[in-house]
Amino acid sequence: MAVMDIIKEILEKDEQNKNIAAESTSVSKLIPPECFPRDLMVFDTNELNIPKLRGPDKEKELLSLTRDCTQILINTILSFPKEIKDGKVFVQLSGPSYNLPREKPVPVPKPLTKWQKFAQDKGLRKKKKPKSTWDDVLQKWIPTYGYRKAAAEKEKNWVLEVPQNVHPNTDMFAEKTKTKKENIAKNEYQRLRNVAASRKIKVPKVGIPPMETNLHVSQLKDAANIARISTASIGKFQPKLPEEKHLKQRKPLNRQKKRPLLNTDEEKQFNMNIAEGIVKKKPKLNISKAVNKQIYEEQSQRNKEKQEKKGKKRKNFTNNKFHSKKKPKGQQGRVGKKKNTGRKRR
Amino acid sequence: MKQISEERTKIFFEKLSKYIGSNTKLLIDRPDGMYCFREMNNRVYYAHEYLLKQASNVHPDKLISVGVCFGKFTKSGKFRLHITALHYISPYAQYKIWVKSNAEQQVLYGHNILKSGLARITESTPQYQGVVIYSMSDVPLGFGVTAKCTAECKHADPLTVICFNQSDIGEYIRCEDELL
Repeated sequence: MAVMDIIKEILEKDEQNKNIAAESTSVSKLIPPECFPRDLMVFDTNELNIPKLRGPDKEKELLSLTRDCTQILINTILSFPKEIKDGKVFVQLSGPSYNLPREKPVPVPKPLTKWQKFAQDKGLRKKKKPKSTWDDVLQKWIPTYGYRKAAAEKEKNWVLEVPQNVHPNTDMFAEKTKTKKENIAKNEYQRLRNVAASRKIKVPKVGIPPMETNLHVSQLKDAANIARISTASIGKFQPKLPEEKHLKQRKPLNRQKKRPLLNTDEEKQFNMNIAEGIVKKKPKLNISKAVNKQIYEEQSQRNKEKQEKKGKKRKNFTNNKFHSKKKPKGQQGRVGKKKNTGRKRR
Repeated sequence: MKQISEERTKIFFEKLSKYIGSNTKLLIDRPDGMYCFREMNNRVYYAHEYLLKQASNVHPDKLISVGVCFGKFTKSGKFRLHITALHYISPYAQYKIWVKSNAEQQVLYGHNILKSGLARITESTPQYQGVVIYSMSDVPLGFGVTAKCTAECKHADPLTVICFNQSDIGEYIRCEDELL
């Protein structure tokens, strides 16, 4: 009996030890963390215990979190088939690899140059030039570009023909270097134009941009104005130039003071004050206005008189018609000097 | 949507008072509620305070218009009245011009008013005075500036310009995209 008990005890202890070992290696998480054994990486997306992390047991908590995750990683690694070589355990790491997100955005394809665009539209393909070609005259291989090309050219073209359509005394070598330089300049210009197009900068297409020698009148005026006020005293003590009065005086900008934000009642009062000021403003003496007013008054008075007169006359006329049978007289409406009567004098 | 600066308020009220004189104050101080002038994109809007509060919920970049647009500040800093303000200006107008029915169309096309199209004009209207143009049936057609005073009008030729057209209700169609 005693032996059996001892055996039982030992077996139980063993079981307990096993359980303890299993407990210590097993990790339980609400959301099982993502494991990438190939990269030896574990992602734990569970919520952090923030009050604990901010408390005094910060280090402990962090350590336990790290331990759990590491345990998971090691558990998965140990679950792979093991290989024993020379008394050492090897494991083949497998599974998906984690794709790290890009730090920078995907690069934009380089904008095509004008020529590239044209070639693409036309379907032209780039032909590869050989690095060097056989020259029959010199009887040797000459590089297409670069080292020893210029020397070979010099050796080959030691004499140049003057074409018939050119003056016989022209220096064809100078002409050649000139055309070469022009070509280089043209290429550079085109390169810059391509750069400008890719960065969307406007470049004058044809013609010469305004030179300093032939500025427009308005530009000159602006320049003169700016020069005038570009002194320490903002042009206060600047002596006047003989033709200065023709220049439009530009005042230095005075910055607007910011008004504090008003509430609606204050704003209303503010607006009312301004409106009142405008209404109350004394009008300037406008001579033409005054003259017009005077003319109007005179005219209206004259009109009134005329109308009164007309009315009177009509009254008289009717009286005449109905009450007296006198013959109507002429020249009654005439104002001023009476016409001379009597014989007509010639 | 911001409050108009002092300088701009002055410019704006001066322009308004050219048309409605001291009645400008009646637009600010209204018995039927608190109305405010607000500036947005150089344009002046006239709206009830309640409406403005409601509009403050809209993101300013997305807001196109609130209330009634009275006009805009030009790049040179002047104020230009828009035809949309006519509804608020015409009741307070101090100087008016009535246009004959056959000249109405000319006005609506944006032409100046000639003596031949003039039916009536307020007595003692000075020269270069802002006026509201009416049709014979008292429908406000727009506003303008007199080219001649009333006294001169009486003796003018039929083809002389009496009133310069500033804006007319034809703009609702002609300048549809500019008015807001």
